[in-house]
Amino acid sequence: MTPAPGSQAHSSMTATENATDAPRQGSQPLLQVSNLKVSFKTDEGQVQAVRGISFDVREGETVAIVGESGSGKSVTNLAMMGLIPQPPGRVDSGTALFQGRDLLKMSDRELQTIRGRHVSMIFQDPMTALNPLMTIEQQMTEMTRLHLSLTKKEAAARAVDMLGLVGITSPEKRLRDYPHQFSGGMRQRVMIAMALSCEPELLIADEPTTALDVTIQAQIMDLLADLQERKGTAIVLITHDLGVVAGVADRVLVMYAGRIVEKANVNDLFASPRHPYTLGLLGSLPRFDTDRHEKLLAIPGGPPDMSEPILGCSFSPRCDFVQPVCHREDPTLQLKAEPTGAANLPVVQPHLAACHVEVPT
Amino acid sequence: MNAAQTTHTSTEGSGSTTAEPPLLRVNDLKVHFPFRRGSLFNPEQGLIRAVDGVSFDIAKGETLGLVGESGCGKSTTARAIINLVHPTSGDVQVDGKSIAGLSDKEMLPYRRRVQMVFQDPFASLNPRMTVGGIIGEPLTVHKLASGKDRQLEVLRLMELVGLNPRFLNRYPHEFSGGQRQRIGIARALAVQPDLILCDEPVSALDVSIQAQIINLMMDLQQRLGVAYLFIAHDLAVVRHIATRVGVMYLGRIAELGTAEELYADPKHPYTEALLSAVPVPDPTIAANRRRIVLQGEVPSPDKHYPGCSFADRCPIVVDRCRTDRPGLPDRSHAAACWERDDPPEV
Repeated sequence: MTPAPGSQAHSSMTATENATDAPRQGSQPLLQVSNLKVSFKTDEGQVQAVRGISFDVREGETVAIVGESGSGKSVTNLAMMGLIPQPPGRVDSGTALFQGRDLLKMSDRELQTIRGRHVSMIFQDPMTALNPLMTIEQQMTEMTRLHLSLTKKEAAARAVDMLGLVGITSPEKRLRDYPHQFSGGMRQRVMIAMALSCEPELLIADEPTTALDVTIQAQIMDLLADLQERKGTAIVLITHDLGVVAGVADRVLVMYAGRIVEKANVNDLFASPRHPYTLGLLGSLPRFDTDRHEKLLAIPGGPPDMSEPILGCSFSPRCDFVQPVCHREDPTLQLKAEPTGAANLPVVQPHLAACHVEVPT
Repeated sequence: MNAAQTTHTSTEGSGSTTAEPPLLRVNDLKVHFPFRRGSLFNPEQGLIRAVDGVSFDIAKGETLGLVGESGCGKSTTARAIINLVHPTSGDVQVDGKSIAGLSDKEMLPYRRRVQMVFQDPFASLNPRMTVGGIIGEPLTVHKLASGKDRQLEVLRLMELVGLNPRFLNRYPHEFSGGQRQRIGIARALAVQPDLILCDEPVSALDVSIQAQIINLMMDLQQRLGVAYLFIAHDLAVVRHIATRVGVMYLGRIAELGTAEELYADPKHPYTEALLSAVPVPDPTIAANRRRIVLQGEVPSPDKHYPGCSFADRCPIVVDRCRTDRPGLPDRSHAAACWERDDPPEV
């Protein structure tokens, strides 16, 4: 994954972002993404899917990336892992330092020593992510034999342990089964077992429970939280479901039209959203504790066409708080509030939002 | 759209006790799909009981929500109501007239009364037809309008659902998911139906767009008095839009009640577990609430349970649950559970 030549010139962040971006905590970040830009060539022209985003992930924490379809949340992570087909995709600029090494500059071979070993991914659809022609054993041992140089026997024993860990009963027997012999929830457990079998430092979970029913979703989220506690794995959770975010995340990044528009600790984000888009998202959700039949505060209109250049703030056409400046100047992330309850948090995240306006809280 | 004639008349209670027949009555509806299993030389007849004895009424102008996890039979129920799949047994009545087993031709007048909106706004619109053609087609099929009248009616419908009439000659692929769902709703409304069966109408949409469509549907109901059967797996959405709610599990209704009662005071242990598992968009509540984690997975509907089909996962199961099947008591808030209600045996 080599960025396009000449793109380095653009990779420095704006001053505002640099000054307030870094969460204040001692430890070195495990993953540090800076000014990542990704575009795709389409019939409609060059689509700017990710338009310069920066974030980091520390050991043992859960960072949620929230956004609607097309906001760039999945592309961000696929780009980091070298999983974007190029062409039509292209990483235009940016760095993604994992333990100090830039994932975006690594060759495919180097990336292969990272993927699955140090950084694992689980996807929304566990059926397409598993090979239907291979038994669970073949798929689970492939990785541990490769990365950890285990013998066939050791790898099988480890696979049994992992399946047990994710709550699959009689794992010795199930190891010989094919993916179609598992239900959706069980397949997602297999995916998690597989993703964690090399004890990666970072797990990227892309909509891990979206295809599952709520009762199964609850089981899977519990399982992830439990494994994180035991193994200290950092988790990047990509989702559109604010309910899931509220339950498990430490910090939240809200994405809109290829940018991060708000960054905050989970409690701060839900208690006092500082970006009108986040405010709109929360207002759009029917909830158990609001009046039934009350009109939902839907956000009017739809997301912008990303193949056209966006002038000013990308959210301005849908925004209730829009000012003349919003149509001219694209706001960068700026400090909106100090975090609350910082003492109990693994990482202290100042409350940032990319907005010219002060949203009433 | 004769709004004046279709005002809310009987939205109270379940409607089952009123003298006038309800708009829709579904009585002991069963949809079974036979399939072959076993080896080639030793075949066995298997049976999937997708819908296995479902009964409910829908009154004029009300919304009955139907919730449940995948495979519980909620979509099949809707499809069976308008004969898109043929019911194995049971009865479906519109205004007291049975429509089960009617031929397609005989069904036509009822298709005008009962319309459907589908989950996938990408698959349910003909890509070769313009928006005007799609919305106008039911008008032609039911011989309601033609020529200039038809055109005017289509434009009126587009405005009604919040579509810019300028887009009349555009094709579905030029629209976003939310707009496509508006087209689907306009098409359903074209024949001025009394009831729209909505099968997961908002689950393919992003939250901000989902809210627009929910608001639109509630607004249309208020203006036109149309009733909805609203099928969804999202319990918060259903609570918001429905007057009454039925919770389905493995082809049967486990609990039925008004939205207020059912959400505030769930009777069936499955409803309890389901409600407790819904993620709440509030970190403080999420951290403090008690969740009932069900053991195991939704069992396969090809298995026959002599007793309650939830017994294997039920936290309050007693011996009787494994042998006797609980039915749904005929009350405004009722649960098919031996422990929490006094159900009839079926």
